[in-house]
Amino acid sequence: MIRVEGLTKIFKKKNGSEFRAVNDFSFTADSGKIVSLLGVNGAGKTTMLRMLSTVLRPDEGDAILQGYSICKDPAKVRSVIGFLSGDTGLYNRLTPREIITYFGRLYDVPDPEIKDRIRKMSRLLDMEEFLDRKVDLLSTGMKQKVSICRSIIHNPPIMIFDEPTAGLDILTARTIVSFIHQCREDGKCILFSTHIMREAERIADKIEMIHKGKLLAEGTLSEFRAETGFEDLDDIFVHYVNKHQLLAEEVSADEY
Amino acid sequence: MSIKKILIVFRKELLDLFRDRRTIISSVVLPIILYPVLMIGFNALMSRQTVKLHEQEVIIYVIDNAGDEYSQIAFERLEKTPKLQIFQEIDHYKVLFKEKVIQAIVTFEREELYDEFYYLNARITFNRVDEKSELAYNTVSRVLQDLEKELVGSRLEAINISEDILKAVEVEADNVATEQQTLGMILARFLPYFLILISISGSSVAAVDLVAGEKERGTLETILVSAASRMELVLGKFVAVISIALLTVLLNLASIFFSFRHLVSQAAAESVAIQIPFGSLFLILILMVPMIIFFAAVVFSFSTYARNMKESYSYTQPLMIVAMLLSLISALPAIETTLGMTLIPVINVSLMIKDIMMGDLNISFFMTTLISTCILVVLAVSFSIKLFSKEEILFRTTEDTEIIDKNKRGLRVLSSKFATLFFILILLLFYYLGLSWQIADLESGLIKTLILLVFLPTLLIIKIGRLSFKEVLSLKFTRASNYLLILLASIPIFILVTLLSQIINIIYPFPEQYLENFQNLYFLEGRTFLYSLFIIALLPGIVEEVMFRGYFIKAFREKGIWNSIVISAILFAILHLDIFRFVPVAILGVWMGYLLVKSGSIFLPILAHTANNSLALFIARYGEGIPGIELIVSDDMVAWWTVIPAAILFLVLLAIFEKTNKGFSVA
Repeated sequence: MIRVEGLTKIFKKKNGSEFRAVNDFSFTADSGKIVSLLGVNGAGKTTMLRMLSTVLRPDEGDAILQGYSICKDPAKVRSVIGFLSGDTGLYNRLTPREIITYFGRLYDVPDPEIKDRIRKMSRLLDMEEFLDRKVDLLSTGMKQKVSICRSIIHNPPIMIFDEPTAGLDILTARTIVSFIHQCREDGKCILFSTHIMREAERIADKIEMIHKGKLLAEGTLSEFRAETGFEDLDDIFVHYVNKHQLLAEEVSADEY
Repeated sequence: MSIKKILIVFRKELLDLFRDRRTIISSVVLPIILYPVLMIGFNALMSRQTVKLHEQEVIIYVIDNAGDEYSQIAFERLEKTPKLQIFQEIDHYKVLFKEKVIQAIVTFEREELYDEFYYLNARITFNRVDEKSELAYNTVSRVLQDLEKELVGSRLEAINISEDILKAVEVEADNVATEQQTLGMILARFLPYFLILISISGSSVAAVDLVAGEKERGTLETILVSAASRMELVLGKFVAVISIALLTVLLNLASIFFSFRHLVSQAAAESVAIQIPFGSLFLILILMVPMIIFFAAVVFSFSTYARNMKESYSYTQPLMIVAMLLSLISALPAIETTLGMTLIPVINVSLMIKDIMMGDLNISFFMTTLISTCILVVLAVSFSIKLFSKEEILFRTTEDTEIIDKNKRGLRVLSSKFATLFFILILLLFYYLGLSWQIADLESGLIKTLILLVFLPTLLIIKIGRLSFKEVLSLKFTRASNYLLILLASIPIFILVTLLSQIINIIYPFPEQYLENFQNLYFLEGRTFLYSLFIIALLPGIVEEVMFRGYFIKAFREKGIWNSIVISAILFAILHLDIFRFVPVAILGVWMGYLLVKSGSIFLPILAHTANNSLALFIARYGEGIPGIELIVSDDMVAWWTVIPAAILFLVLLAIFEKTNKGFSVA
């Protein structure tokens, strides 16, 4: 499971001023559940996921993944998560088998086990026929299957998806979505970011709305509906954004 | 960090690189194919060219103004010469010569000697830059020289003297250069240049692909999320880059040697067995390995900093040009290997390769080159590893370019960007105006430069920026004890900096002209000591401090306090346009910057600056007249032992200064 406590990331602009991409953000995600991080472009979703995957260091706060702190134990954290994004690249000159083996070894998975997992996964994802073809020659759908296989080679208890369906055609997106469901069935803790309301509506068990780096609202779809009176997630989201802006204006009015 | 992980990364990167056609072509195929083809082609072309030239028929035009027996014989001989055609009595022969139809014009004149003796003067008009015309000249002069010998012989015979009497000195060439040296000399000219070039291009192909390439393909994030640590990743990649570069250099080196051996053995009249100097090759490799690692680290840093591969390649270009120019310096005839040269990167390695090839290697120079290159390697490698772990560098995006707020003019003037442009402008004015003013007249030139190019421009931009003079220039007094302290400290500082200059003088001896210029400066013609003091110490003290410690430190403040001190000191040293004093001046600059930042008062650095220049002037003028001073200064040298008391005194004064001035006064 994931427990995020007051996570903050500050970027310095060239003129010296500070910009809080993620600002005092807290939430939890349980195992066997799908949690969606929902927000518009530039809301801070990617920064948040990059902190959780220890690629960026947080300036304040901490997050605990399967008992490991991203600040104190980043190496352990990396070994318990699988990471996949929509624009994940692959090495064009290598074959899927070589790529997956490479990552497996980086995760300290023993070679026989890697072989075994590749065999099972490729049967599951129907990728046996292109396992030894160079990635260069594969279609987008095939590549995405390779990426999936790569992200799960070490059988991580936590899966993090950054806009996993962005830029993919409908069939490939389906493969991803069913993979996410498969992960839930396996009891993994799943966190995925998206700016597509429909996607969050369809697959998330719980939604964390993020806006300008701050937590806007959290809950299940039915909770949101009950609270706002809107049916559609689009309307619900806009409702919260407006409410947030009103609040912000009040605060700045108070300051003067 | 585990070696196993580094090896996993390394193996994968090598596999990836070797599946890349660019790597294969530039690192393997090109070196193996290029040199043999070049050599064979060059060889064939050369021999063909010579043969062709000799087969060619040349046309000459003969004007016979002598019309005697000798000119008759000479004409006949020329007529009999094969591949030589003679034109005569044409009106427009000069036009034909110009149009290269005729290759040479031969004019015969009769010159009288004494009694019945006379000789034939043959003037050959030809064009040396035209190969065919030169061939005509050679042919004609050879024929006529043979004729002269013959005629002289018959004259001597007429008076019964043997021709042998003319023989007094015979010159015989006996070249002791061995085949290896001949080979070495040809190679020594261009091998350093080539190897440096190859090691940069070899490492850049791999480095660009391994970091900037991962950014471009979107794979960087996936490996950063993997269980491998940054250190393991960067080392694995780094070793892969070095391996590729090393392979490229090795293959090139081997190919060059084999091809050259082939060329030389063909050029040699009898086939001599030429040994490949494996010892030399080995020594060159020992030098090239750190050089390659250094370049790999630099290119790797570029690749890490770049947003994509294209950007990464464009950063490599300037490195390539600088390195090429530096390595070309070693090929200049006047350049000799000295201790100073062995401390300059790239130049030192090129010189060593040249020396190795020429067979006159100095082992201590070799060691200093190796050690100084290794130090450079440690710095470059640790920098590139550090850069790789900086997230703001690794995830640099195009978004971070800021739009400048046009309403805030004051802020713009006090920005590092504006300051950089301002400095470049001042530097150009200094170079194009200031130097010529000072050459025209040293004294008035100095005053003009200081006032018009340093003082006024600084005031002007503060005015343009609508800033407060008082604030920017730190026109604020500090406590009285500070002035005394700094005045005292200027003596040990002066000694320490002078000693440093003396060390530099040992490594890079100052040219005579340079020292003379200083003498002129210190002994301004017919000026009193006080007047010189004003021009050399007080005026620069005020004016230069206003610009560097006043404006520049503030403008670069956004880079951090210590960075702003160091940057302003480096600019200060650059503006002195003096390579020999660069380091001492920069150190003084740091000291004065430190004084400003600590005290918040410009008057302190002005005092330090003035005191330092006054001391230099004083020693130069009156140094020898003071009793007892010869213990410290003799023969324009400060005694080496002074380093200890000077350092102790300086540290004590510094400690007192630190204690009485806590923190920084310039925010």
